Amino acid sequence: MKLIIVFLLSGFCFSQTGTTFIEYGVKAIPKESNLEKMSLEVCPNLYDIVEGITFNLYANDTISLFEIEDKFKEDNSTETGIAKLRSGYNGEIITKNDSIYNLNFANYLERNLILKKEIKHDWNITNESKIINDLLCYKAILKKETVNSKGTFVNTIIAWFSPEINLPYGPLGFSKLPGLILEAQTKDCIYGVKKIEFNYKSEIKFPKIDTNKFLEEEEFEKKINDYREELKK
Amino acid sequence: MSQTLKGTVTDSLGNPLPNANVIAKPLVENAELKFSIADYLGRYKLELEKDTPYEVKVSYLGFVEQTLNLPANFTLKEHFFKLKENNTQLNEIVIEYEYKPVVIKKDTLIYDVKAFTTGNERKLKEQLEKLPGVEVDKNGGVTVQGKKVTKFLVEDRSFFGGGTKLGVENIPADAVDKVEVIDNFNEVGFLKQVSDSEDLAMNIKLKEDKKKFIFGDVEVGAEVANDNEFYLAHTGLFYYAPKTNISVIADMNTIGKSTFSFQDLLRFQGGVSSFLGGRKSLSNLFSFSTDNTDVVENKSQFTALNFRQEINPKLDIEGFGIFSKQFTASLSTTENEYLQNAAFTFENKTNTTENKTLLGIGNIKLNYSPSKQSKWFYNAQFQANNNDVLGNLISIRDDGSQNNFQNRNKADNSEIKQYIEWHKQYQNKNHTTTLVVNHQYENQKPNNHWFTDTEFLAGLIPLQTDTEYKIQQLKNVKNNSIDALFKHYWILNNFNHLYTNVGNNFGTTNLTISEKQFVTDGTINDFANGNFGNDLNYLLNDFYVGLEYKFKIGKWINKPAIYPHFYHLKTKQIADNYTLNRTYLEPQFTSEYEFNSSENVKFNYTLSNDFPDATKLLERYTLQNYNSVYKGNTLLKNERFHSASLRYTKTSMYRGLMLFANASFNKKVKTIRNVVEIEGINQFNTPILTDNPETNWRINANVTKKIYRFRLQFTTNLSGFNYIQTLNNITTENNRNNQSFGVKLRTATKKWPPISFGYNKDFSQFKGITQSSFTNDRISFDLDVDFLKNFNFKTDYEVTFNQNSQNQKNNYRIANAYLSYQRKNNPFRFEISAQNYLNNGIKINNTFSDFLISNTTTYILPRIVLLTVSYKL
Amino acid sequence: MKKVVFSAVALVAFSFAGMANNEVKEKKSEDRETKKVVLKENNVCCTLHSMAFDLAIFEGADSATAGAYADLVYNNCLKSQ
Repeated sequence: MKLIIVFLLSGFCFSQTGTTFIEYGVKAIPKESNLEKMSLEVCPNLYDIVEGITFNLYANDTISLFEIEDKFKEDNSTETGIAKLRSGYNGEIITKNDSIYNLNFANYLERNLILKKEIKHDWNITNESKIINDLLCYKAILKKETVNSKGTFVNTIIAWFSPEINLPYGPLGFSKLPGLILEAQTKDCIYGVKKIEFNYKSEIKFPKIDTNKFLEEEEFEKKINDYREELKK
Repeated sequence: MSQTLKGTVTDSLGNPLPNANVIAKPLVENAELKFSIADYLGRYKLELEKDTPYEVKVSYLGFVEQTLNLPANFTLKEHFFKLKENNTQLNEIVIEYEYKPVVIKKDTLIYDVKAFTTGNERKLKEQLEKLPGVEVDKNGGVTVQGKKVTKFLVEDRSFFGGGTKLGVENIPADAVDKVEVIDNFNEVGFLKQVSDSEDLAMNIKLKEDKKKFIFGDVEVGAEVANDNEFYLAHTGLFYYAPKTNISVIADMNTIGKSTFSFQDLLRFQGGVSSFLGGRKSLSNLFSFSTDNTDVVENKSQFTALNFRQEINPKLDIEGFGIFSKQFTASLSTTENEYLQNAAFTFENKTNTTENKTLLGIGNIKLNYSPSKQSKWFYNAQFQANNNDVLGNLISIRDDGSQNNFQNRNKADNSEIKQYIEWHKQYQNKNHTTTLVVNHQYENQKPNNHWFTDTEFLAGLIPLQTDTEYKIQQLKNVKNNSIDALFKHYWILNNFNHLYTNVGNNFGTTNLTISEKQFVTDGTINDFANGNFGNDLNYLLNDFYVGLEYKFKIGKWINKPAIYPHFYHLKTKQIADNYTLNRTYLEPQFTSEYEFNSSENVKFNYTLSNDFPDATKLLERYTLQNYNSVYKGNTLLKNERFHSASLRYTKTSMYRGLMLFANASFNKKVKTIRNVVEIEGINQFNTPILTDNPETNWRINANVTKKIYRFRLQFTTNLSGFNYIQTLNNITTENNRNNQSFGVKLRTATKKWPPISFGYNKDFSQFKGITQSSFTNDRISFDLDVDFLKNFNFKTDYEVTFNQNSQNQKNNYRIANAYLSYQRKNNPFRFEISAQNYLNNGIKINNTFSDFLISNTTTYILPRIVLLTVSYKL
Repeated sequence: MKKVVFSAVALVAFSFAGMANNEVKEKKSEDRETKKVVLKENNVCCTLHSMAFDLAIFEGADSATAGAYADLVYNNCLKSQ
């Protein structure tokens, strides 16, 4: 009898090594800035549109894929476009080993470019904890640096991860925490898990990363600057 | 020191659980959380701090969580987690949780300066003014959401002693990257969780490429149009490097611009530990005039040097030196009405003074942090100043009598202050102790002379009739104090803290005063014969033990405290000695409720006893002024008072709403108050202790709301003071009330130039045997506009209307304008300024005191048109 | 310079107001060459493109995101022409 139970449960154990499907909701944090004003003029109900988007994270032991739900994938309307960017989303994100691969992020330039970044996530894990739906979560803080032509911008990312769910992933490519990120707040928005499905049934194809297609950040920087120069002509 | 814990995570059958997260949570605050992710064989390895207790937890979905408790200095090297399966089979978790973004971090607000500013700002001050919730006043004081910034830091380090003025007015805007505002600031990191520090610190983060840099500017201005010798020369030079900071500020001007005023002096005081703030410094009594602009002449020279050097990561030396020389000449006329129950005396007084002050300060501070858990501070400060005031005073009364005085007040004061602080956090991180010893020595030698041709204070001073009168008063005040405090903080758990205090304040004062008349025939008339002249040795010791218990119930923090005090007061004077021993229980209560991170209410109550200082106990007469004589009361005991305050704060960044309200109430149940005898303009004051209650209360509120593209601000300040006054043997109840209301409308969009309109109305009433009131209306306007790319025009205008109950009305207008030109990225800047361009010569001010209604006209600097060239390094 | 930016923001608002009735979803041009030709003819849209890019950069967006913002604004501008 005992044996049978064990058998059943050990079957379940492996579920954590299969693909897990996580659904994230997002909420925009209103802010005052020129870009925000412009976005709101283009799309007055931006915050509602953002709240209506669901993001999916597919993850297993070695790889994770973060993408917008299918119905918005091919929606090229300006409103959706702005809402995607407002959520901090600009194309699918794959995390594998120590790298982040960003897909379809600059289709206006060239299709199928892949941007490769090193994961430099230097999380500061705090003693602070809270319970999200019976799951004990710890707070981790990341000072995320973005470098662009205007300088270096450091933004604080606050993540709450649950060690119980042993997937070191999260939304927008945030990763390398000892547990799944259930909540993540950036300067623009807050992501929160709505649903987790273990042993995800549907077949999920992780896009292939064609090593010939990928760019390092500096290469892309050059490309976009050339493009902008051309525009000005 | 670290300790390794290794092992495996397996199921009950010993099958490895790969990727299991092993989390080691420290059981003390401020220690780091550690974790390990099990490998494919379920192996984990944790590097832990040796002296920290941990709770090691392994949780794995589908298994029962396991916890291992590790005490500090544990010896365990291995642990094998065998997780038991639990019987719930989960395929899906649906989370219903309201994810809420945190808007304001409780303790720190970080402003990214470039998000709020236009880039045209020159100094930090102009940037700060554009940050939401931040206000900079005319004296360089900064408030954030209504709370005053008390510590000013650059790159987490104290900048010029921590005062805001020098920093905000001198740090060039283009070096500033971020402004951090830290509430409940405490220099000792590990004390943060237990301290009730009310310090609000502002920390300026410099831009990455300005981390090692010399910056500063040189400014030279000369008068155009007229030649009244008005000029301005200013330089501020800063050297900043991660380990060394040196800054020099030098200023010379005759236009009343105060680079360093007495207010700064207070901020520069240093030398006193923040843990022992209770002791009154007598130096305030003999200090300079704080006014710099309301004078007819003002020549000031000022130099300040500040340095900080990191000797090694554990030891830091900071210090500053200041030298200031100032000459001011002032003129004022005052109409006084002396209330003597039924009769009145009117006096017209004209006062001319010339004041020369010299001040030197040297300060050095050592910060030593031998380990993460302990910290030492030593600070020493030497200060010397010299004041020389030459005055001329004409007093004409309504009965036709008059006096003409020439007086000279000279004072040589010196002061040494030092303290040592030691903070330690123990192995068991729930215990922290602090020891502070503070020593202070002051020596003040004011020397006052009065010359006049008419007899004065008739009947009150033993004057010998003469053709002219020459009176000299010599004072010497020596204060010496040693205060010590030992505090123990005990964190029972996150919700209960217990603090124990043991302290002793010991202070002595030697006060000698002598008054003499130098008679024209060469003889000296020592007033000592008329019961003048004092020689007082004063000692006050206060030993206390205090117990404070802080507990948290949800969002509600309470801290009741009880302090038994053992007071010992002893005086020795020419005639009598006096000893007083008292034991009092002084309770305190603080309660704070935090509705959410942006709304909270705080209540505070204390019962305290205040012992009379040395001057209140003087047994013989002393000359106070040309029209007043004072005598202490050797048998005075302590005053006793209740004070309570309630503070409410609400801020909503999204809705642009900020609301602050404060109410405070003080009631003295044992009161020391001067009994006044007045005849004509001559007064005699002596303090007595009574059981007459004295109450004062104050309510103020400030609401700011963003409406469309404007920011609308309302301020209210209501206060009342009720006391019992004995005047010429008649005791009456007096009431002084004051109400002020203000409204201000400012533009709050970058699309429009900053413009603000303000209107303030104040009402003041005095009710005793007589009644009197006055009102004051002020209308102000500010404009700051950039035009033609490189030009900037700024102007401010304020008109004041005064009216009193006799229907006397007066008004005056003050206006300044500045036109500047600076090409972008060009170090030169040209400015034409017209200070007081309406060339209004006076300011008028109404005041009440216990028996005096005054209307003072102060003569101010005339119109000054200056051409200024500045060069920015 | 400031003023130019702000009037450009106002322009964006107008151009979008004009396009609210446009129900037809245009297929996004994948051909870079044709786009470039159009670009030269539409100075206003170019200005907006560059402005949106700068605003995003100014707020700390990376080049890819700033480029995406710029592209959205640009295409929208074209549609309303």
